[in-house]
Amino acid sequence: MRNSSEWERVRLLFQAALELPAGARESYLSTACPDDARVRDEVRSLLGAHGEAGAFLETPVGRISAPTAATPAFTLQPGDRLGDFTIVAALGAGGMGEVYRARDARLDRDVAIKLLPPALAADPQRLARFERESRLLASLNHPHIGAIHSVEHVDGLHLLVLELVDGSTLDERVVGGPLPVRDALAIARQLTAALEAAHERGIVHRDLKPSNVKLSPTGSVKLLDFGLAKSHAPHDADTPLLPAAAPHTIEGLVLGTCGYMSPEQARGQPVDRRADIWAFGCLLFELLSGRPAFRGNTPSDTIAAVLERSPDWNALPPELPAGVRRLLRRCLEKDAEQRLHDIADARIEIDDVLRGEDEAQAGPVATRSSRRRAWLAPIVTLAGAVLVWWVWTAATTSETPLPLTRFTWSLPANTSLESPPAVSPDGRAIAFSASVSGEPPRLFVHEMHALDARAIPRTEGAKQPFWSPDSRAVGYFARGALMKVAIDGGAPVKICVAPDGRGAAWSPSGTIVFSPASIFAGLSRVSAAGGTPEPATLLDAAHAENSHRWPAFLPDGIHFLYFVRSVITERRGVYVGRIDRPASAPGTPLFRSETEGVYAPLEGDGGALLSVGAGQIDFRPFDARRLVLTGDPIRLPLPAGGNTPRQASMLSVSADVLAHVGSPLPYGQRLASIWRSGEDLHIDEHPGLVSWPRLSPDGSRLVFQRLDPVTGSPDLWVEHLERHTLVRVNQLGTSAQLPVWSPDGSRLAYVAAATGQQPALAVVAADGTGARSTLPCPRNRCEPSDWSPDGRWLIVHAIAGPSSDVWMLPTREDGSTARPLLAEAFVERDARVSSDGRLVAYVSEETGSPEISVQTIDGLKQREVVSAGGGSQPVWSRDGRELYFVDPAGLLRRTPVSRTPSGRPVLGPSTRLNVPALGTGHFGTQYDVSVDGRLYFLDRRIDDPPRDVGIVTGWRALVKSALSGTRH
Amino acid sequence: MPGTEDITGLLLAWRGGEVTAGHRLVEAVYDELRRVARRQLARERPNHSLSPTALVNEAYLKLVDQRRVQWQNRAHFFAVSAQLMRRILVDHARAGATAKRGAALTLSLDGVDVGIPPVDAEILALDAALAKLGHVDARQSRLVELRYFAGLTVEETAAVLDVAPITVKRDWALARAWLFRELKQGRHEEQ
Repeated sequence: MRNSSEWERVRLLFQAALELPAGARESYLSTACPDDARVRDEVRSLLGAHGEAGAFLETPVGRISAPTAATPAFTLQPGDRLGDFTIVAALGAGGMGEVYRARDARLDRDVAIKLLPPALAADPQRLARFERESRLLASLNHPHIGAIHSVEHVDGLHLLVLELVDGSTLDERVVGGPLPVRDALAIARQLTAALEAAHERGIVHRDLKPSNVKLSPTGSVKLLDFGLAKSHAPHDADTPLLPAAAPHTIEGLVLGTCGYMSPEQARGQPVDRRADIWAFGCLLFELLSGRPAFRGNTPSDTIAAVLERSPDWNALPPELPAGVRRLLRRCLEKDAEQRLHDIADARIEIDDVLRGEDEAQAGPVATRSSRRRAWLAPIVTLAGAVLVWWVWTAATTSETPLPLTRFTWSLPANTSLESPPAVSPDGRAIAFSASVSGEPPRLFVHEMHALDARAIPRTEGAKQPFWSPDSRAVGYFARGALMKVAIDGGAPVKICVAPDGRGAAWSPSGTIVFSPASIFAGLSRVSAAGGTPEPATLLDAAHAENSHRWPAFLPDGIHFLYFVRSVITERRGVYVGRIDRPASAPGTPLFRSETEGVYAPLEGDGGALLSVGAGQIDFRPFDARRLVLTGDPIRLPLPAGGNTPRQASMLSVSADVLAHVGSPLPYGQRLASIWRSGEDLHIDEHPGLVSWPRLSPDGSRLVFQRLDPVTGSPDLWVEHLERHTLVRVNQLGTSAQLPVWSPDGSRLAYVAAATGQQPALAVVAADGTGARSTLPCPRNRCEPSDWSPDGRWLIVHAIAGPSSDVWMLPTREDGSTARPLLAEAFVERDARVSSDGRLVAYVSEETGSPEISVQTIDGLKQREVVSAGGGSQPVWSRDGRELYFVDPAGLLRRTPVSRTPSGRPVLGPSTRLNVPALGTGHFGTQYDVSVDGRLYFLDRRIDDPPRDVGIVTGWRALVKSALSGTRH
Repeated sequence: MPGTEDITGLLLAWRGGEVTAGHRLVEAVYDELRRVARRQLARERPNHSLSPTALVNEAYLKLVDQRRVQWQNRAHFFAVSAQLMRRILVDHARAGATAKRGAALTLSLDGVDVGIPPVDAEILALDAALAKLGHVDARQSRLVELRYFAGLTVEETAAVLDVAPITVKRDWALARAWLFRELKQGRHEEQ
């Protein structure tokens, strides 16, 4: 081409001709360019070349990552609506997409919405993979992993709906220098738990770094962007050098601070969970030393450091326990083969260190080093501490009431509140039960003048603490007993049996009134010195009461307040009882309420009842001598959570100090289902406590017990899984436990109980029509576990005193009699018969701890122990070829079961199922398996408990101002 | 080696319309890229691959002060990256072509195997043909860099070149035809 105008002509003619059918091109050229044969020849030649070129150059040799958005110009604006979501604010943008805060109108909660980058959304393959992985990740229910709620398509946009986690990221936190060892370990402990849960399910984070770890304002750790890294990589995966996501995200070109990248990642080699362990080591190192483990001026320098240099071990604090140093070295081993293989080992090591420090710290507060400060130090600021000191001093040196002061204690990140706070009568301390790093809850006492709460030794399992009148001891429930412990030392003492307590109060004369059980129990009373409990109140069956609970003494030490729960709305409320006169609740309550009341003394002879109403504190003037309300209720502007089926209201009060927590403690279990491959988690929101899900033999219906959170009624519901209809099958006001389907799916057997009646074995029609009969139990108590496939026998766990065997009860009147099936000297229970009726699997306690055994049903003693190391809750697959069970760690496993020609069972090795841990210690079986491998189970994930305890000293001034406010 | 400021200055100058700044930018980035690659080689075992995309990304980002550069116009990044990819691939092919026949292609970029799928000597011919095309029509040459070496889609290319996607499609057809013919002729000449 001689010049550009000629080339331009060629270009236009070529492109125009190309639009035409091949046969029309020549005549077009002659017409359009009659004057220049050379141009025509050139165009002809190029058209010919085009015809021959085929796929020439069509497959690129390189691939530069596509940009996502030109600038962080946000696609959505506050107020924009996407289906049920309303955008509240933009939170950020990057290669992983734009992130917004949004309101979810369906569930009335705030969520984070991630708008997928167009490059990802436009690629069907990547999108499909992304969605698949997101669903798997959505099943990762863990308190320390930012949850993925759902993947949504709205208005042509692809959204990832995420748990909204407020707070700062860890990288913002480490800017301030090293963290105290204790704090760093507490954070690390939560991270190990999160990684462990993910690794168990085969999910690798791939991009663990401080900016992906969020610390909520209340201190809880949440790991974000779990595993999404992989989905965001282009599928041609031409990015081995790059970490999958990074803060320095430019235009979708993703390039990381490479400092947390494992050597194998830096080399572009495949990545497994050991990469997370490496990153965890980097992170812990940085928390402890205040500087990155590997750092360079440029990404390549950083990579060089990762690959060839050691971290500066001298940067770690000198008092760091040797165990942690060793752990860091093992995590930061460059050769993945030599590296720590399992994050659980890190957790165990950290636990050991933390435990060791607990013991080391058993001395008085003042002797502790400042470095190991206050790991359970709820006081938020030094100013707060000084204030408390001053308040406390004032309280002990003067008779004048305390000035009105409000402040907040925040529990540290690794600690979750397990009970309402209880203010001591002298107002100098608060007792509460809390769980640290997922350990069993323990009792803590936080004295106002101390910087930190202290754990009371040997109080594992403690719940619902209450104070002795002299403020020197705390009573509580733990492990089926009412307990007490002196706060200044000494072993806990068992007062009496209390299977599942619901509140207690300690009178000045040394009598404790308590609710011994969660259902069908009135209050009992017992001397604080011990003895046999006697009734203090009587349930009134005529009023369909199912519980008396949450007692609180009035000032005379004889009368007490308590809460009556009933399915009858008008009956629920606060009543007054007397310790010397066991009686039913009076005809009308002091006041109608869904929450209990506590008494608070006012100045002079006055008094008041406080209770929680509509999330705030209600104040009712009360004459404690005449036992009558003397004024209208006033609402105090203090937020407080109401009671739940498990916990009292989040309110406690002494003369001068009031403690309140703004929301109730989470409780309950949700019914969830999931394919056994771990995909497609589905959670049904049945408010209340759900137990014993069990599928009908044809798989069409699910029966479960649900405890209504308001009425406390424990009802049996049958849900039709396709029609989503729910039918209650028990009588309202009675309790139904441990349901078992008849083989034809027409009936259900269960343990029926009601106020004032002995539990009985009931059989009821499954369609809710109400036809009901009872079966006699040959022993004291019978709990059904299965129904024989031929329909003739109900398999029960028959209990009489210490003896506990498996029996077969005839369900038809064909002359058969009840007979034992398994009756060794040790406990046998939860027996399940295989679908062919030949094998029985059951829990045996020959060794003292539960194990699962399988044997032929015809009595031959060919017992095979399935669960080496223990197990419970056996469930047969519908074809009888597999046995599911829960191992001692609470994880669901299954084992293949075959048979020898003689019918003897042969068991294969068991494998873990990819579902969330079910937990142990359950009564009955808490999951079931459908014929096609869908698992129904109780999802134990609950929301984060509240962490902020509000303290108001001199709170009565609030009442005065509220009273004067009402008069104006 | 120019410092970070220089590179950023070059970029800004380029955006300001100074054409030579773009060339100097690519040179500077490529120099850094070779340094990165050498460092990787120095500490790596043999037979190890580096991703060319990653190398380009790292080199580029290392050199450009992100605070000073507005990324509203992504053309620059892609243009530079595409040219760098071309340079890497051509160097790789050149190294392979000079290696003994049958020997593994392990040398390029100062001895680092950049993990490129085996690209034969065609790439050298393509590079030469592309240079020729660049003289005829610079936009066509850039288009090929973006589409073939950087793997951009039609839409992405259109955005970078600030033309309509249909123009990219048409130009792409022409460039392919032109290059195909050029390479075919070259082969005939060799024979």
